[in-house]
Amino acid sequence: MVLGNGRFPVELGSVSRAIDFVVSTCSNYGIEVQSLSNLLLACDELLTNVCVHGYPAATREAFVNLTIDFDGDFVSVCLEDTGLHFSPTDLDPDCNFSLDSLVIGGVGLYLVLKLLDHFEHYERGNRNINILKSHASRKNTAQPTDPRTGL
Amino acid sequence: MNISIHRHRDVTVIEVSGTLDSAKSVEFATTLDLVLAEGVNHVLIDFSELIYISSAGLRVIAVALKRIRKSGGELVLCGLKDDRRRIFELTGFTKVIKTFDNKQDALQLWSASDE
Repeated sequence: MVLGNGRFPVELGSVSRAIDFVVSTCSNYGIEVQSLSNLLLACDELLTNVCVHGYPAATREAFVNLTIDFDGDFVSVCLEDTGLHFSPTDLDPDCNFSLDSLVIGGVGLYLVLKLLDHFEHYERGNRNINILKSHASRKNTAQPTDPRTGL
Repeated sequence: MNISIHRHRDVTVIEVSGTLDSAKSVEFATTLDLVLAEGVNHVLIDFSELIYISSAGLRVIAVALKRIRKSGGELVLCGLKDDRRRIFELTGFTKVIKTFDNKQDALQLWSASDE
């Protein structure tokens, strides 16, 4: 079931807004926000990566589309952009970090690969599509509510 | 994200709640800069109410940890729950920084050394 769609300009200021959108959309559907920490982290890292590396500096009017789904056990977030092609799955997932390397940074995409229950990246035409999936808990409610119909 | 700072004897306690995303990590860095600029040597960051921390937030902690150790101080963490603890384990943070289940246990670290 699709819980929500959003469209965000490619700029760092959008990262907080996109994360707030995921939190509020899931929360409105009764999903425990505390169970979304890995998913939110992964969204943050991928969105930040697109904003910093996805487009040449002079690019105008670029957007990331975000779709949130819930199947009863897992929340999925689909991120779509038209920036430079880059697959996080090409990274070496077995990194050993020291304090010095943590100061330099670069652990974000490693965490995306390690923390999610499912991560998928593919390219369709000029679009990069990232699907992030993580188990989520729902608060006890009598009946599930479809966010589109309120039923 | 909300950040509150208070003192417990000579320990500066920084409570961070909500989502510490990439953009908000700038505010987090500024807070730590200001605290360290005061010359404090004992810093406890309480993440009991944290929803998640981005890699940018982790980097802020790494920078602050190096800085405070250079001046003979120590920075520790407490309140990391489940998935959030795993992030610190996966990145090797738990090998280089002390973590405690709660604030009381963390404060014991320094109260014990005071005696």
